[in-house]
Amino acid sequence: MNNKIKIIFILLTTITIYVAKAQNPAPSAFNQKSMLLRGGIAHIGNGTVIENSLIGITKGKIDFVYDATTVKLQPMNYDTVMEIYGKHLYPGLIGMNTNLGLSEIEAARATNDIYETGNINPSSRSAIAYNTDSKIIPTVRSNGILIAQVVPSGGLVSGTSSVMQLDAWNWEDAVIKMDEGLHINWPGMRIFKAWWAPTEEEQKDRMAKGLENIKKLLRESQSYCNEGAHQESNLNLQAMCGLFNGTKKLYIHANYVKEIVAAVNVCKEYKIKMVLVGGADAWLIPQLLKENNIPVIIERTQTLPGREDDDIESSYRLPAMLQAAGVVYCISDAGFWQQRNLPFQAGNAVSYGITKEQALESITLTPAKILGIEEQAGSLEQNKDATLIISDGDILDMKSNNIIAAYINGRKIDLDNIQKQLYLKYCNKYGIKP
Amino acid sequence: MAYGWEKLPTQKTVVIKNTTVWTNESDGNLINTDVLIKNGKIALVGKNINEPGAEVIDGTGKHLTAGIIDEHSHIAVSGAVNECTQSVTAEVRIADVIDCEDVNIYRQLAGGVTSSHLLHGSCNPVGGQTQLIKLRYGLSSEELKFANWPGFIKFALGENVKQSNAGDNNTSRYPQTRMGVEQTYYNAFTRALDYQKAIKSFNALSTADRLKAKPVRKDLELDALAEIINGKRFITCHSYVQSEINMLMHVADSFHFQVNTFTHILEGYKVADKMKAHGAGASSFSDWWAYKYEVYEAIPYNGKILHDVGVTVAYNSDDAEMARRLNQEAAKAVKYGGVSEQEAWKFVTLNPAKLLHVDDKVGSIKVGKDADVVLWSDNPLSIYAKVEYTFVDGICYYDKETDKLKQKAIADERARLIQKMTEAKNKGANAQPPSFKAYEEKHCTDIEHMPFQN
Repeated sequence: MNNKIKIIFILLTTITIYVAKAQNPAPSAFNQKSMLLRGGIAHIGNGTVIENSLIGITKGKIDFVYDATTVKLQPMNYDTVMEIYGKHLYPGLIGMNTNLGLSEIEAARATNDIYETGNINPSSRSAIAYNTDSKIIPTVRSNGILIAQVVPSGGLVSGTSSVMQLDAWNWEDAVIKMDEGLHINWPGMRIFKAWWAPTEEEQKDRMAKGLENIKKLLRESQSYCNEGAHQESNLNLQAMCGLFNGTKKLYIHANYVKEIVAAVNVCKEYKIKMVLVGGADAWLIPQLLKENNIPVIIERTQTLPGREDDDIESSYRLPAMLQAAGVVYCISDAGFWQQRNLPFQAGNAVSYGITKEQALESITLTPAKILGIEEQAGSLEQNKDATLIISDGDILDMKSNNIIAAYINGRKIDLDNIQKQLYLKYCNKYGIKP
Repeated sequence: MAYGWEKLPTQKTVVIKNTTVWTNESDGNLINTDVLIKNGKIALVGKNINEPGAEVIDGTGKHLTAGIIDEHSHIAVSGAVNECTQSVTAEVRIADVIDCEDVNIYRQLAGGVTSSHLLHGSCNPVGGQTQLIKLRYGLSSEELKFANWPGFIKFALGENVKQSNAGDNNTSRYPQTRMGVEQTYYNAFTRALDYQKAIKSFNALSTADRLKAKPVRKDLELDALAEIINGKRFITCHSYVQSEINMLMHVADSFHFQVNTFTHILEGYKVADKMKAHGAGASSFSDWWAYKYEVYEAIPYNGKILHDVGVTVAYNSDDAEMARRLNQEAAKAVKYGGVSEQEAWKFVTLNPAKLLHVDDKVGSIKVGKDADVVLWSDNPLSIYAKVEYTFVDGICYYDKETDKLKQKAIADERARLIQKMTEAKNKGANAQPPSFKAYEEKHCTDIEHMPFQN
């Protein structure tokens, strides 16, 4: 019998007193203790909901997820019991395809580690540039995003992404999965006209060179990777080997049919696991994507249609169209600071044909599967990491999204951030109620 | 033209029955209420309205609001939005370059927007004269203009006007610092005063003396600046950090006018009391930050603090996509700081109407005001809410059923053209690869095709 039980009732407000701070909160330490979350509306992440749940957590792992109406438990067996009746529980959200931690201020060059120079940089690795002390990160995780795929951008081959958790002292603690994928920006294959556009010949030339560069890189790296030993080592070619032995995925950033079809064909030829990023036109070729098991990372739902005469709601409907066609998709948000709006990118698709639980799945379990971390993250299921959030209301709607607690591997995260600090500082100045 | 009309929609008499009405007036939200729209105006708000011959829309379970007013927009402007050749270009006018065929007008009607304030960019301290339009999609550029509107002018402060992010080749145009920005304004307004004085002296001369004297050369730039000093033209000023906000209010005080609106104003929360004392309003982004150094201390609680201190707060878009979901941006005032739903809703309707001096005509559901109203499927602050009808002047410019018909017409037309092309090709006609017209989305700092900046 444990006689040190603490019963915690979650406070309705997360901001209570103003303490002058100018630092990010310290990452929390490994939690040895056990905890029982009782009464929450558990959104599992796989499409199901348990209205009155019991979730047991020990040493950072989920022991069990039960329906409290059918299972009775002895709370005395837990160090802490949290009563969260009426609150909503979700798996920690996963921000895909983000530059989070690689930039602090978009226009301030010194703060940017997103774009390496040169066109082909397979060996560049985002993980080692990921800045855990970025003031942006706490503002993102206080909206429930606890895991991020940190991605370099620019050029033809931007580099290699890694998966990070958002409460760490340095990039080594932050890494969940190192160097998991390579990113290619597929060359535009449509001729476009605008007053700033290059000439048709220049566009065609750029397209042809881009395609040839990709094929050449794949050809050469495949030969290189097939060789046992090399007289002359090449780190860029070496970085490609994971694609051929299946340990790395190839994220191809492309939006239009022509580009997508060309990318799929190249990946088929080299037997590479492809993930499509962007995919504005994916709804036009669902069969191709399905047959080749290619998941889609929808870059944003909140974006304008690509063509003047497109359905004005086409980007809002894209998740529903892929859902109906049976294509695996997840939803991301652009940039880095923008990540805090990830739940709303998903929520926006709900009125346009998917369910709330499908929207949630698109920012939790499906991203986890695409990243190959579904054994440990992405849903509230037994034996997975206790990486989860608790909200006052539906997180997909800004009107009710209010994260009151978050855990990464069972560690309770401090939800403070620079913006809350400034808020309280000035509420204090004017004597207004926060 | 995509989503155009075969036949223009017309003004009708409509009763929206049994709905939740967000009045934005002292009545607050009225439930199970009817609203009569007649002759382009809101004619009656009440229960059990029966108007013979009126079209009836069942509003059960739905929400009727005033149309959204976007205080900061760059849609429907043909060509570029910046005249960067000089630091003061008060003479240029958006009114001369309205593009009534921009499909974003239609897309934004589908997001419940009924009026947009079209602005120049922010590449110079005085950008030019703005234009408020109503989204009367299908009418001519001239007919989009909001009638009997006093006229505004776009100012800008900070990094964009001092070219901080314009690259190493742009380091010599004056001003390059906030110090220079202040002097640019003192200089401009001093010139305007001298100009006015010269005109006054000339006009005071006798007819005989006038014939001998040199007349004052008409100067459109100084005319516009003089209008500001005389309280005839109002400023909306792109601004971010507290020092510059403070500075412009001092400039205005010394020439005895008021800064009407600070737009963007992400550090407004730091000088909320000073803005209140000066009488300036705030038109902010809900939650943008970190895109440049001057917005590193921007906070999403900005709207809440300014509102609580007593400043009139609007949330704007500056972005053709965000404009079609400004209802969601308003909801962020509920999320960040707990502004009440009804007050948050005013951030995108009544408050921008006040800032634009048109709250006697639009911005709330009140008998006698223009019938610029939107029927939503849900609480308009919810991400799940969709627009069902958008009326401007009592004319329905968007409804989801008509939108379906328009989409079908576009699909049919596309199929017809493809069919024709295929036939021609099969008959041996010359073929060429398809090309597409890239759409140029406009933002504050656009000079040429530049990456996204605000």
